[in-house]
Amino acid sequence: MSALGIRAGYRRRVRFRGANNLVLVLCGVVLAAIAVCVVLGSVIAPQDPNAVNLQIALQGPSLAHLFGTDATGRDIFSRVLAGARPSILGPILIAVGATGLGTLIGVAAAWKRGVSDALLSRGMEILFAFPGLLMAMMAVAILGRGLTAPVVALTIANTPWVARIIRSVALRERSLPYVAALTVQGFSGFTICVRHVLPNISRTIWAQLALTFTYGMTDLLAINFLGLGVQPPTPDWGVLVNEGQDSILQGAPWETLFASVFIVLTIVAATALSARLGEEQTSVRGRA
Amino acid sequence: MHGVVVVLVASVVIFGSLFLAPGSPITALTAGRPVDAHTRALLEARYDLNAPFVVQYVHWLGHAVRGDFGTSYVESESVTAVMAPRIATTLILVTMCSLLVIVAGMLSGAVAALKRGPIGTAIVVAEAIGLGVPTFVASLLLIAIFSVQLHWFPVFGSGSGFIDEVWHLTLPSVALALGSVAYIGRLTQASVEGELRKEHVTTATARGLPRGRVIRRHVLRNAAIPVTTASGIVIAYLVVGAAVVETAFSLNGLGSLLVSSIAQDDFPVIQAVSLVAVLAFVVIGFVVDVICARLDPRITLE
Amino acid sequence: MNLLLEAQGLGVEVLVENALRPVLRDISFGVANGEAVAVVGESGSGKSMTARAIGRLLPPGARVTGQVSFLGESVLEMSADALRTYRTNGIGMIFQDPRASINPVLPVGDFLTEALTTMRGIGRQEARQRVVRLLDDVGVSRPEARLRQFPHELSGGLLQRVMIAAVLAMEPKLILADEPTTALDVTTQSDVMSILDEARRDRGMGLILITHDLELAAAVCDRTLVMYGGRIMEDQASSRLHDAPLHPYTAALLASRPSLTRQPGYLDAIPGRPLSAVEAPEGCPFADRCALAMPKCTDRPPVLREFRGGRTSCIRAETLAPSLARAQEAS
Repeated sequence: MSALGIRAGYRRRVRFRGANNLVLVLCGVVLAAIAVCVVLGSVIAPQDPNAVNLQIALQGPSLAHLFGTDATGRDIFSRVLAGARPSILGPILIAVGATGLGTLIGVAAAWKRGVSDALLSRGMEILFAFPGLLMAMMAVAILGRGLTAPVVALTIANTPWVARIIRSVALRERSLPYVAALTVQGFSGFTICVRHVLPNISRTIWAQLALTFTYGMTDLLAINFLGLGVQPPTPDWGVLVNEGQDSILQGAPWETLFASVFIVLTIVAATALSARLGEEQTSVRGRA
Repeated sequence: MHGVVVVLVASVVIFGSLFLAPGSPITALTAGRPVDAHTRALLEARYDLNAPFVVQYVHWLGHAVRGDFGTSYVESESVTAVMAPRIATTLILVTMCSLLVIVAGMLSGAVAALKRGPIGTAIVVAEAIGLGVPTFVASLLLIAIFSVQLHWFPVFGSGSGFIDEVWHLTLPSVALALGSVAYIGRLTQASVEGELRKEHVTTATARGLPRGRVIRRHVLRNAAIPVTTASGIVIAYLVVGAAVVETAFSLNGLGSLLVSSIAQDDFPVIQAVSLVAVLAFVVIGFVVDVICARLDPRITLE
Repeated sequence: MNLLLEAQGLGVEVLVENALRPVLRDISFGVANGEAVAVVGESGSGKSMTARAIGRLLPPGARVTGQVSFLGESVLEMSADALRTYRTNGIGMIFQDPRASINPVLPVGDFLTEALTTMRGIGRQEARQRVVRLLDDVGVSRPEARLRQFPHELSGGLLQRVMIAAVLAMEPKLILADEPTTALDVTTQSDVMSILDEARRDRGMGLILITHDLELAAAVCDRTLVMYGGRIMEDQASSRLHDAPLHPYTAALLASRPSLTRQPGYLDAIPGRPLSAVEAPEGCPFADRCALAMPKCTDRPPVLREFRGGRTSCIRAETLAPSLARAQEAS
């Protein structure tokens, strides 16, 4: 609070239009359903995801097995539900980590400018040379299989993308008159950034969070698919897609199919959410 | 030049990270079996494992520049020999895919921008789906539909002979291209729409120039510039994405080599392939910069 | 008298957030062969939109009422072919910001010769020669070298001369210049304006000059139209307009200019801010800022009528004319 009684956080009001609202709601519903699976997956699964029963292997969808059974007779529906947690948690960590770090770096670079900015930007540029998937693979090569290596690597790999966008948005914000006004009144850079600039760019931050989540999920599930991340029998969706590969050749695509549907649904919902939330940024990312 | 710095830094990171990896290369070499001191000494001498980091790095880099990446831990033949037969497959795959991305992406984006209405909407929807489907998912779905169900394409392998290889690589190329086509399509659409609204387009129309000419020479040509930049980066990423596709389709390419060598801790191969990947990146980036400078006179090459 | 260009009851509505809003109302005027007419107004008055309507360059979704005819032919109803002929041979447009109006990635020579080679079928060599001569006419140094340069290598003033050359190359009958010098510095402004004026007089071309500068209008154009809130307020010979304006708005505009000779206590600014057609009420759009307004001014829409050799839409013109003229004498 200053002598002039200026409230923290000059917020700019945002208006949502009708059609956007519908899409937003739809995305919210989908993501909420996925969230339920993440939290309660194993609990609400009708059967034990790991229960093997060779006699009912490779069956199509039925009332007893909504998504059918896999090559060893496990219920696919239960496996998909149970697989929500490992499939989503990793990407969330990546998203939070990369967005957090990226925001820190982006705002710091935008605020300090000069040498610090140049250093940070150069550093980020070098990281740009490494696609996320490559970094994740190398991390696995160094640290061994499992979730830790790829998650850490993907967090680092996605940080520069977030940092670059946050930096440009923060720079724009910084050039607005209210920041100069606050500086003149004697507020510290830190206070201005945290209590005023951040809330005003929060929409972009949320959008980046959702977007990074989709990229992290795509790359992480690819790592799992390649057998370099989470190992079977954990029913991670990437692993399921891989496991289902043989079944496809035998005419039973259910495992791959339903796992794929869930993956695509989550990614599309999160992408649509991020588009609605933030400004359209032309950030280029690798797809794998 | 900027690119050289990147490659150098990358090489240090690549070499250094594996150097720091827990578990000595000895373990990888011997597949974890216990080994007596004499054999161990022999291995260390052979692979130069006792010298300090900098020496090993310089040694490695010196050889790498001449194309000698050492010997594979797993195959016990030179890394180059392991990589050589696989280069063609990956090269063809990435080339086919790049063509697909550029042609299909730019075409669909331009059409979506210029023709509003049902076609435009259909393209936009297709793009949204394309963006949401990860490559490995696309690979398997394509296999399920086009190989197993419809028998239009072979399921596995790269085939022999050029035409056969192209046929084998069609489905993998499409799978790899899907997300990128959608991305480039959307980018092209936005770029063309933005260009259509520009003042110089109104001026050209005001001068009475025919619409076709205005679109071709003033809208599309200008809109292509940012899309070209993005295409370069997208294609570079394809190089890495190839790893997923090659694994899914059981192709013998550099990508699947990378995956298998990671699974087997075959460090020299990992280093070599990673370095090649980064190199490809930088080279593609450079080529794209040159093309962009030709297209847009406002850009100057450093 | 056969007019070169005539607008009758022209009205334009544009799409603003999915609703049609009026930007031009009941615009009627004519331009004779070789005549220079200025359209003066503040921002939001609709003057730029008038130029666009004449060139049929309105934004998508816009609705047009009324008539615009060129040499008797209706512009708004022309076929695509006729429209192209109209835009190449009939009118030539000069826009405000030359840097935005020229394709930045193609050489300047391309821009200049494009219309000649495409629309007139003239060979490239011949086109280049013609263009070099024109560049010389408009005062561009080293014209051959300029052809190979790109827009970002030329200054604003130079670029605007290039635009003028491009327009002259097609030898239109009427030039529409939309604030051609606003984006330039003051010294360049007078240079460019005099070049444009001289060139068009030499070639006998008509001119519609859109500007917010009353002085400029008087210096270059025979007649001046004053617009406000999407309507025409006054239409008079430029010289008489300055001595005896027929509309309070014109008088207020004239009075609000800082004078080089007098030293007033305060600048006579017009209170309030300029309204656009969208915001204007049904009656006279200037009424709520006008010191001389009466209740009947807001009752019905103003009608442009002949008066003392010009036209005015002020309903009180007869009463006010003497006092408006006297105020001008005093300043």
